[in-house]
Amino acid sequence: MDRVDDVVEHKKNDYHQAVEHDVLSAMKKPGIVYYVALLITGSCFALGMGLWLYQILVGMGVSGLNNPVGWGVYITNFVFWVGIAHSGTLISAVLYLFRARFRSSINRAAEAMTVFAVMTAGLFPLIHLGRSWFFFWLFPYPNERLLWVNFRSPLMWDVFAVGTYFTVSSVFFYVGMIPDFAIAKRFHNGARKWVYSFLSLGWKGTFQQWKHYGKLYMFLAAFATPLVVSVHSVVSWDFAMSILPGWHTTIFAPYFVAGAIFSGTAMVITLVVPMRKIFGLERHITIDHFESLAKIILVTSIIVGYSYLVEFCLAMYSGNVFEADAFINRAVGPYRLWYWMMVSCNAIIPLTLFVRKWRRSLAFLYVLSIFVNIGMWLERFVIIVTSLSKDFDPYSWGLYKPSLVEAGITLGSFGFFLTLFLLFAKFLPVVAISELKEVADE
Amino acid sequence: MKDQHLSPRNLIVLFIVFGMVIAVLETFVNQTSDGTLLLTLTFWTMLVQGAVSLAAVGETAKGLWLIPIKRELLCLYPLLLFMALLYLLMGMRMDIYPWTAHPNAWLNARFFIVRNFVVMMLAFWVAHLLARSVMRGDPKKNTYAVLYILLFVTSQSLVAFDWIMSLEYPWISTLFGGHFFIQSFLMGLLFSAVVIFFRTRVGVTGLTETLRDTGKMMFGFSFMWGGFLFAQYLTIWYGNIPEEVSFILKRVDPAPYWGLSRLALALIFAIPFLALLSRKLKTMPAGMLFVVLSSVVGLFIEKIILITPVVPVNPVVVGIEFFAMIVLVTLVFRTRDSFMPQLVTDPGGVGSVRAPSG
Amino acid sequence: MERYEFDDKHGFVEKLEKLVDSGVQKQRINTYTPYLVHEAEELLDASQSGVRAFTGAGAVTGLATGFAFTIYTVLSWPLITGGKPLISLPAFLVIGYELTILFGCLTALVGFFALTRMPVIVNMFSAKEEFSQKFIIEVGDEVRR
Repeated sequence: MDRVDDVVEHKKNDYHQAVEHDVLSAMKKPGIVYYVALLITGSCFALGMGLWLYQILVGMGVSGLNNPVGWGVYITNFVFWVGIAHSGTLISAVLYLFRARFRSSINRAAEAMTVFAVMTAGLFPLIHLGRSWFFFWLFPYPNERLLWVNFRSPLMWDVFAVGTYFTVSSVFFYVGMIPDFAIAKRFHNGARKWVYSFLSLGWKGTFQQWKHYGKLYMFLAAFATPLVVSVHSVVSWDFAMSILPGWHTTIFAPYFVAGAIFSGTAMVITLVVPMRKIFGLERHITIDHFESLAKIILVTSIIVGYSYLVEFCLAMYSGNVFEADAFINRAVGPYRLWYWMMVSCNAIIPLTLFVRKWRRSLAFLYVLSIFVNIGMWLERFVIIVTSLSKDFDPYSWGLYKPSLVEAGITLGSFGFFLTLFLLFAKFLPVVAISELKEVADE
Repeated sequence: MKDQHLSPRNLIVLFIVFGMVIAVLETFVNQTSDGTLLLTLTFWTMLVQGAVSLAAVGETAKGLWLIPIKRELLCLYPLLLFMALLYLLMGMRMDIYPWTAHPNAWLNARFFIVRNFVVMMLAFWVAHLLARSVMRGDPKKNTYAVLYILLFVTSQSLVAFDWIMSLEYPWISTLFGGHFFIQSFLMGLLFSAVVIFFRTRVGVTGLTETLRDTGKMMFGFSFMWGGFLFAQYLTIWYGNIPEEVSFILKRVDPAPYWGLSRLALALIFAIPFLALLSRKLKTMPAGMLFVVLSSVVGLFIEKIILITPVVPVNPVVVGIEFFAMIVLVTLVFRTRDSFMPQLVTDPGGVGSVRAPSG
Repeated sequence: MERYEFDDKHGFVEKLEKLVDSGVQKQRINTYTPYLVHEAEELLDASQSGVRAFTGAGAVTGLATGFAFTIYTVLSWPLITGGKPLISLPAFLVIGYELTILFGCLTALVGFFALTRMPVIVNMFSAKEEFSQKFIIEVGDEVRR
């Protein structure tokens, strides 16, 4: 039983009350739409898990991976999901440091997205391992012959980067919610009250609590910012540390970071537009907020476009035949369709956001955000697969085609991510209530 | 100073005089040390373009903290014209580039001069429009600001890829362009800290908040500079391909460069990083000047490291040219009232109220 | 014990200023607010929060651990891989960097719990003095923790 409605009867015009009401109403008993959505995403997830089990039982032959293309859709998904995570941290931490007010309405959803996307991303190295049950070999401990893991390997850096990223973004997500749990506990009875009471850690909003809390939040934001930059840099170095043409290039780190923020911001729009509609949060998440997100997309799209151009031109400039061929192969080789789709989705279509009217059209932004998501997934695919399929020696060239199992597991990852997001929307406060109050009073 | 009111025509005369001085120096005095002009151009283009780009970024990002010093940053824009004209002198120095022996479609002397000159002139022209529209409160200023940023990125990328990187043709680093425009932006921030220092000296108040934000941005960008350097170093170190590694080895191993490279890293990255961690320092104009000095010297040494392993520079001529540039920048800055009317419509123009210029 | 309740920030800050001006010992005043009120922080206790020291210590420890750990492991079983020197500082910097951030964040959290003496089991489930949208000033007889 919920007490939300009673409270609203009393003081409907008070903004503080209204924020609490609107946000916490989202946590009420869900409607049929919600259950249908949950059923769909849950089934996708179950399908993905089933296919993973099938792959474990039958072997890696069920995927399209083979020589020379040993990295395919799984690694693409890994990079894609880590990238999705990034904008969450950007919106919650970087914009916090820059004191950009528009973040308050969407930072919670973005942080949740970060945590879930990192969880989803973390699955893929395991899936890709083949013998997934040996995943713990990646942990830094000496094996039975006292040999340690290789810290000179970029894959080991990944373990540290992604592990740290998951830990820190979870802490950041949780710390941000502590005051809101204390509010949520007032509005619920029974078991949920107990859970929220426990999660609120006895928060009362005393002077001491707020003083140290403010500092803690600031430090977490200050650490999350260089962290987010390092994580996708490390992911890009999985490729750039090799000497493969098309992979070994110095611009990769900032280019991947910009691309990550680009795709992540698009994902925020993809998720928040329906969330806002379904839960009636139009008053708190406004068009202005979306316009600000659109500007982030525009800027990062230009950076990504710049990187495409620089990479391509310098490959031609260098006179290195392998380097030049790697890029010509992308544009006119067997994967050209994907390459040109990637270029249009990432570097050309987003330029329409220079038009203010389109930046402020939710429908337009929504469609665009889906294009960007597709484009950024393809970007990782193109980078990984084209370079592997055609390296220095013509004898070892070969093409790669994803199998149905890989497609199913990819679908499953979307199911996993969306299921978590739906559960979040129902069980946790979807908008930072305390922050909105603070911003409203300024 | 007596020439408080320098009309645009006199400004052009001034440019021609200074340009002639440098041209005479380069033609008759400095005939063997070919890298001198390139060093002057690279360093001062970085400052002038960076200062204007900071104002442009502040304009598009609605950065409130920048408003008090926006005019002081923008007022360097006439120097963009001077740098473009000075660049034409590079025409007589083209033999420093190894590719002139075998020119191709992109790397040939004529196109090299033309494309850089055109981009620099365009940047000047857009900066001029930007400055004018900002002063008038014209809504078109946003468009000009965006255009300027795009031209700035293009121009600094060309500085990186054409002016410096092609000295070592066919060595490439795709991040070199990014490295340069980040550096140039950092230079703009350093300049704004200097501006705040002098403005505070003449009694302008209310700049503490701006100084602190400038300090934070300096911290961020010097960190980013370090990151960009590391991203290039790590990739090349790990790949260990002979033709790539030789570029770095030449610049970090032999005698003067061993010390210089480490000194530059300390001056641009380590010292500002540690100093700017302090909250207090970011509110003290004099303390910030110390950080600025460290970074500027570091960035100068970095240019020496990039250029001199390939072409020598003449220290005396560098000294004279840098002195001339300092005089020119000071002249332009002090006479900004004559070509940059006061901000009329900007409500937040705290620092730019009728205080004596200087 | 005196207690004042306000519905908005302005009344709250005004009253707080009055109390402080009238010479009430700052340590005796406690407040409950729905969000961090910076004016209250300036009035009552503008000192540096201890979280800063925790964070700094954690970050430095993390960096040191990153390098010490990686260097120890390559020396404990020297094995050259990829033609790289045993002690490959550029590579180890990545580990050191990540651990700086990880340790810094975790110690910041620990510091926050230690300084606010959270979590308090009793507070978690007590109905009294809940976190609300009210701005409350309490002037106690004892000094605030």
